Amino acid sequence: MATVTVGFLRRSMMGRAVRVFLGESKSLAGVLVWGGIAIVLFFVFIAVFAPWVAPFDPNATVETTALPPSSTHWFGTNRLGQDILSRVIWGARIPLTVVALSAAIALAVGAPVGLLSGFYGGALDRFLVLVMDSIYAFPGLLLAIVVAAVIGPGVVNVSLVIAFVYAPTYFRVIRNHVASVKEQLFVEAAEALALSRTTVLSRYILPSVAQSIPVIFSVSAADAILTQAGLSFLGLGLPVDIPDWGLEVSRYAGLIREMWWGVFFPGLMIIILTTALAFISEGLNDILNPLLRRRETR
Amino acid sequence: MPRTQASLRAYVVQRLLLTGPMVLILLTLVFYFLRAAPGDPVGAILGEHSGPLADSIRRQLGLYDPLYVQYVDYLRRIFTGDMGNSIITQHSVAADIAQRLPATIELTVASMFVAVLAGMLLGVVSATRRDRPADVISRLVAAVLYNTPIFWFGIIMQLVFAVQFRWFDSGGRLSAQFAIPPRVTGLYTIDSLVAGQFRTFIDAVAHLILPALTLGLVLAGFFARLVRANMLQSLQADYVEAARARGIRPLDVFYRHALKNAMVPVSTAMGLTFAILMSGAILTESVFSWEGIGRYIFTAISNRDYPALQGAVVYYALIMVFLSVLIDIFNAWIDPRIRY
Repeated sequence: MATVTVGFLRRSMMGRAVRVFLGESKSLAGVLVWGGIAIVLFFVFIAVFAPWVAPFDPNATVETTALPPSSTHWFGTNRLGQDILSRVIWGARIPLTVVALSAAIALAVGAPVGLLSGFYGGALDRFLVLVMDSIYAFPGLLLAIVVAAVIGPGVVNVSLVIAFVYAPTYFRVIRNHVASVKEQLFVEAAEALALSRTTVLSRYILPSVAQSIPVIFSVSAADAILTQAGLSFLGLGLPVDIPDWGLEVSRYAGLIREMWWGVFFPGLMIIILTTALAFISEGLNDILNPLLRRRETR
Repeated sequence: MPRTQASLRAYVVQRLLLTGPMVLILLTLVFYFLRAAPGDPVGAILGEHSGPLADSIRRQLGLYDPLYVQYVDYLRRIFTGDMGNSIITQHSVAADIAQRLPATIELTVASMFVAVLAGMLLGVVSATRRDRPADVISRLVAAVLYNTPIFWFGIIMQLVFAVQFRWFDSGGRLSAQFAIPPRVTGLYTIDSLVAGQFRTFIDAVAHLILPALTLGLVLAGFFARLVRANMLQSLQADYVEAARARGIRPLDVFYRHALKNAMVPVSTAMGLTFAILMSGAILTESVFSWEGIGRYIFTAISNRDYPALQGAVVYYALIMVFLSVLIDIFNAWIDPRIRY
């Protein structure tokens, strides 16, 4: 099954991707996807190479006090005399790690369950739909608060929290997709050929359903970052000494009169990254699947 | 007409029947995480310095009972409004929440108003100037707004409009020199009018503007997308074509034919956006010291006030489910297509 999946991915998704990147690069959708990817890659780059990119040690005291932005410290320094630009660069690591990790977990749980639930139907399917819809309709941040309050701080724990919030999105989309593909003629034909259920599922249904995965990811990624930042701001999720954008904002919120730069720049980074992810999803939406809507809860 | 009523009644019954299990699932989830999850939730929330306090809370909450006893007791307590006492305020959590609920309602209603108004404006500008610079700019503005962290936006709003320009106070619901108006609804803006205290009313509105703009504008980004998409769709519809063919002025076609129809899905979406609104309210209230349920949750987290957190989460969720049912029923009433 694994080789089938990979083979399919290579055939169809790469084909689509190439078409998107070459054929549509001049359309607005293509520009959005390209631009968004470029920005995200930029953040990935500075996060990975933070030790070399950051001009100062993020935790070192390099000035005696909070200084406004200058040519030495582009984003200024905070009260501890730390360089904010360096902290922002190191801070990119947290949201990116959380997004990648949480998406992987949400996919690993939501997708197979959605696939089987949609394929086999029945009472279990109806029950799962009810449970997932209940979670889905719940305010994402509130849910995250409940889970985060209990499982405690840390990057992995926050990723688990975010994955818990977004797994129902993967489940819903994939389950509904499977349920509709199942009724189509080519699946019926496969069943008429007396192919095994595993074959039908892996070779007929999965290929058609897998294309919604990148769309769900790009759609929920921006929300995931905002939820993570919100948790950090509320004081849940991360130990206080880690450079993280949301934490930086919350730490200097009370000092906004004295040092606006301590709040402004980390928040600006969140906006740039989330907007870039939104561009990717908007562009992918136009190109791949006009029917899929943005997740409507956050 | 009788048929309409019958179908509406059927829809309402069906919606309510679905709500029951949904509420139970949500309550069970919260129960699981805050009570039954492996590890020690009370200890996790109270932190290291828990000791005897954690012990007394555990006893008060009945955490030493068998799980099924706890579960039944938990449900009974929710519906009798007995969720224990807040460690910080020393009041019963239910009373604390009842006292703060109007503040949250005031903020969310005002924000929804801002969101729909600003969203419609952006969406209509976009749709009527499709693919021209104005469209690209409006879409960009909408995308950036929707992807802005609310707490950051709120702080920046405070910095610009309260600290720099001094147009508004940066937090709270009322200036210190004004007495809280006699409680009728708990919404200061309405209560002050009822009491005829006009200056209190002005002050209450002045305090409401910044948080409502913060929460509303972020949500406006969402509505703008929706209005644009629906406008584009209805502008291509046959009845718009027909209206144009009849020689109706383009402006009338836009606003009286296309926009009106494009608003139906927007009103449906108001139900869906409620979850975003309630999430956003937690952050907005925290930033603006707006003493609603969101702020209560925030202080409960920072004070490690376990009973308050549990109660607030449960009631917040119940209120949200209740309101979204109301909105759905309202939508089914104005748009018969939803009922079938």
